[in-house]
Amino acid sequence: MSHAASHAGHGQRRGHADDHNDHDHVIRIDPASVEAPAAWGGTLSTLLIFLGFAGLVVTVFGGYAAAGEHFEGVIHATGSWLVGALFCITLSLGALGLTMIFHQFNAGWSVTARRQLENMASLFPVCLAIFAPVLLVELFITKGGLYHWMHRFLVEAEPGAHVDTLLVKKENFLNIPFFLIRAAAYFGVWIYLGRRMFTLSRTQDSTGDRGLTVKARFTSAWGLLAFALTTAFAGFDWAMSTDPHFYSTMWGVYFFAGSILSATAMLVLILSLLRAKGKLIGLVTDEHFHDLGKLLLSFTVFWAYISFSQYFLIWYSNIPEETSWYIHRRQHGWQNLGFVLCVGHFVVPFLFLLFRGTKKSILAMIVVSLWILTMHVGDLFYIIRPEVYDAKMGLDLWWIDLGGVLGPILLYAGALLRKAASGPLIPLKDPRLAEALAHKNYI
Amino acid sequence: MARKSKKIYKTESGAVVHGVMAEFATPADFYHAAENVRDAGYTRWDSFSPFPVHGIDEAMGLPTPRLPLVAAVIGFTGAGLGYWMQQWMTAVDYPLVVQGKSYDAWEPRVPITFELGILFTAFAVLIGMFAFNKLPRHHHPLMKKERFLRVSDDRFIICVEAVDPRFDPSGTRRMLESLGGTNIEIVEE
Amino acid sequence: MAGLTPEPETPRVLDPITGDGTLIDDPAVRPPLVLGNHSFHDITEIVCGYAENKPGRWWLPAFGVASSIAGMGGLFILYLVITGIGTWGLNNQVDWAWDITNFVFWIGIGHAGTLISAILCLLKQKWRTSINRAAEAMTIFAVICAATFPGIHVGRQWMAWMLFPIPNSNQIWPNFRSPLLWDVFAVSTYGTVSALFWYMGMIPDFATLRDRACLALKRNPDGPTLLPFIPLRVAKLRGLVYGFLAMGWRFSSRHWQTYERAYLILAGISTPLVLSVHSIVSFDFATSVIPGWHATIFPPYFVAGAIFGGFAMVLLLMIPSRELFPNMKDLITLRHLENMAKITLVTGMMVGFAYSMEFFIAWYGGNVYELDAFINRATGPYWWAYWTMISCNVLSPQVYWFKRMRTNPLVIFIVSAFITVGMWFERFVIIVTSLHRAFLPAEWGMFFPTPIDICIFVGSCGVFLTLFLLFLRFLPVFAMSELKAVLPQASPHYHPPAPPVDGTQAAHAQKRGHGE
Repeated sequence: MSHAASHAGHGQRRGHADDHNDHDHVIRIDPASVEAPAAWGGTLSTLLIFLGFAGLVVTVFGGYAAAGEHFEGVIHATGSWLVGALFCITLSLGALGLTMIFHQFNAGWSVTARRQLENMASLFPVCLAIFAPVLLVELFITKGGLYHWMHRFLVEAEPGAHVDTLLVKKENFLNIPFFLIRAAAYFGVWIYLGRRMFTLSRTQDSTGDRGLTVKARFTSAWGLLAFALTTAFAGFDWAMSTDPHFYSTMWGVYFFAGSILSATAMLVLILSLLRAKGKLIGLVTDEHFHDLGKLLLSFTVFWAYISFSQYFLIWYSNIPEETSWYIHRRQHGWQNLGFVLCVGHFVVPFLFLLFRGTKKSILAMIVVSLWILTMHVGDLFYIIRPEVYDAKMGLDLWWIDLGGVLGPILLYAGALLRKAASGPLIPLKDPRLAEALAHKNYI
Repeated sequence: MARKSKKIYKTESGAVVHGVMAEFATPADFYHAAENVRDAGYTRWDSFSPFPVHGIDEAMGLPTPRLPLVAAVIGFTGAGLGYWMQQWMTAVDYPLVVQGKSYDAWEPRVPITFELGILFTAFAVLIGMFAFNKLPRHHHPLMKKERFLRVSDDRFIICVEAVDPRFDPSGTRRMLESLGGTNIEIVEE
Repeated sequence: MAGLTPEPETPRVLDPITGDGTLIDDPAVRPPLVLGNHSFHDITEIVCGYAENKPGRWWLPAFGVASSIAGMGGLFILYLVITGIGTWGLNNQVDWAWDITNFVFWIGIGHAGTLISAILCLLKQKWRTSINRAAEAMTIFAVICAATFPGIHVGRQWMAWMLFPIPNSNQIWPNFRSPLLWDVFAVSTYGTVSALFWYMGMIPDFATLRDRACLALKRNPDGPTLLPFIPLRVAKLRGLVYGFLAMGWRFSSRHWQTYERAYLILAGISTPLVLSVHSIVSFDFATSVIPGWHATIFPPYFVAGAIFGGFAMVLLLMIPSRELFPNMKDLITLRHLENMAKITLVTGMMVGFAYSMEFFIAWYGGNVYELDAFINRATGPYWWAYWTMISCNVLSPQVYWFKRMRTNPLVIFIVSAFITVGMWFERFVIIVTSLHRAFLPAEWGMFFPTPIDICIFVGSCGVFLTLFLLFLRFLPVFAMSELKAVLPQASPHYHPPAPPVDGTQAAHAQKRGHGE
């Protein structure tokens, strides 16, 4: 057995599942195996952050270069940036949710994978920094380019002017001060929860205090409730209200489904890269990958289930406010993106992940997780982009989209690598570590 | 399974020998005995336990079951049939206008397509499980042994069959004995 | 992992409530799944004992009462078929009421069984082993009760063949765009697959019962007979019936390998199946344009509600069984109850989340009809139903935030009863309050149940209980092979705890270092 991890005293026992009748053994872990590759904290993350900034510069430049009479170019640029920012937010959100779910389930097998989720969940301040410019531009420059309900002329009746009755009704909810208060509240909750999960786990690395796991479990109990509400409302505020007439009770779940799927894909991607670099040997094994693959498969199906149900019920009932959202997306070429999402976001990963072999292969998992992350970008693009500006604009300014979407993502990726490199790759003294090391699927 | 040997062994009373069975006290002994029987090169043998012992398939060197593939093929066939049935009935044989939507709309066909896929898979799994295991089976030579009936309670038994090319009544018995097997008995066909 | 941590090697503080480690909260220790240091043989004796020995004195009276109620329900159904569904309280305004309420109620209860078997199996929650069999049985009985209602509510029950894809006399096929037709496929698939899953799980246990009957017959060929004067031995009959059901299972490892794989696939396909069935039931409402029915969140909301109500029913059945059957408390520990209580809390919150989303979107959406429907629910003539639903489903499980409450069987029983009532009212609220105030004032009316409505519902409860009592009496109530597999000594790498003498520890450790 070439395991980097071994039990002191009777090292040869390692590798046999179910064999931890005594809990007093010390687990010896090879320090090199739980340290991120040197480049992650240094050159690689700097490069990613640099490229991210470059992408954003391109976006800003493009926005101003193409800015028309009514700031069309700026709206285009902020819309793309919003897609990138939402991508980062949903990654952190999914990671936060998954961490808390693992704690609530008292999951043992996933302990060695959990640190990477905690890293993602602790990045909400970065998400805020990425997201804030979108809001600022929207508030001070485009003033309703992304969120049409911000246009005062739609709700304030001047004599003889056209007023949007629905928006007048919605003004109690969709108004700028309340919108900002809510955004602050969401980020407040997320930053607190993300930090807490991260700190509890990191503190345990040095103290080994089991009480911290109990605390994490308790926090996740009420945390999940707060998480559910904030996630749903963030979805309503930032994504659904780009079409202020549209409403769907499922939206919060839809937003969550995309989040948890992409966070799992990101987790798998990071773990695969680490394993490919020769890290985490014996700590995250094929067995863990098998289970992570199953999670990926079930979240893929869950996303398909939720998004199909939402589409299907709206398609079937044909109520104007709702159907218009999908009608818009079945025209002007957006139907192609819809088709790509049906096939790419569901059918391809579903069939791919059905096989046991792919779930246990590092290369296959890198491919499928990158694929799913790309499709998640497509999903957010499908939500935001057809709303933000005239659909006829097409893809002729594709480089703005590319910069706007990739910029935030690369920034986030750089920050994530730094975070991963700033501490051990697994929770070193988690009380369930032995269980995770011995994890094996028998059937 | 590997090839059979043509040799036929008979007991003193003239009955054909099915194999030799030995009892093991704990899952651990049972597991190690299985590993050793596998390493000794036996192929026509089986082990019996009241519950699936973790990892016994590896200890016995069993091949990966092909059931999942069969289930997947039949499941997708069922789903396809479900879709085709609806397409044919509502768009071909007697096209029916409902809500003014297209005859060929795929959306309302999803529920039944899905359900039929699941239904076919479930039957494929159960019937496939029986077929791969060559069940149902009315009788088996081992069932004659009173000791064997205790497997369903708490006994662990390994039985090496006489058709194994390496089978040898006394040698096999000695091997099972050396592995800690007790109450070794000849099983008659 | 293997669940049970052998006591001698864990000198930790056991939990103060039970003293046996069941409720321990130390994250490094997995609480025992089976109490009382039972051997494999003990498990066989305990579980087979339920099916082989005479039950307690309570069983026959309980069975008598339940089956009489079921019979009464049957008679009322007969009356309904002869007379027509006008005997129910339905009217032109509210043309769906208790019939569909009962249908959704029962089908919802039928979801916990497959959830426990399938989803908890996939999630490697080993505590499921001691409750899955009973929960699966409950699933099938609930599906039977559920399927009755759409069957009898069609009015001309003898035309029920029109539910199936058979062309009618004008050569028209059934409408494949009708959610009601999807229901037929979903519910029948669900019933069939659940039954297959249940049966497949029982095969090894049937084989155990068969072998025990054969051994009993060999030892005592003159055992008791089924009826006086007729030489049909009880053991012989058992051997025949259980033997037939066991299909020649002989516990071969080669068989176990395929069997486990098959079980895993069934669990894998049952999980989306559970989700799909209640989603399709929710489509009955959500595909319409009726205010209060058309909500895109309905599919997952119904699924969460079904799991919620189903777990409450499992608890309602298992808590008394635990008291009434010998040794059952060793197999269903307080930890099991606590875990199920936690699941009811979570799913109760999900249901609460869906209620609030519906209300919020009704307000946010700006659709007057939608908003009016929800305000009418809370303040209209059926306000009492709405607030019963809210207090039972959302408020009552909140006591589970306290460990003392969620580990007290009496509290759990009472809360589960509330939840069961609340979930029935949820369906009642959805169906009746939306129908009784449709778009036109001419469509406004009230629904009042008639005694026939009530008697048929009570009768379905009788059917459910009768079947469950029969299950407790004649079938393996626990999955023996699975219970044995979660005992610590089931691991091939288990070695009995070493005596605490210096020096033996090293030898012991050496002994267990095998097979590397």
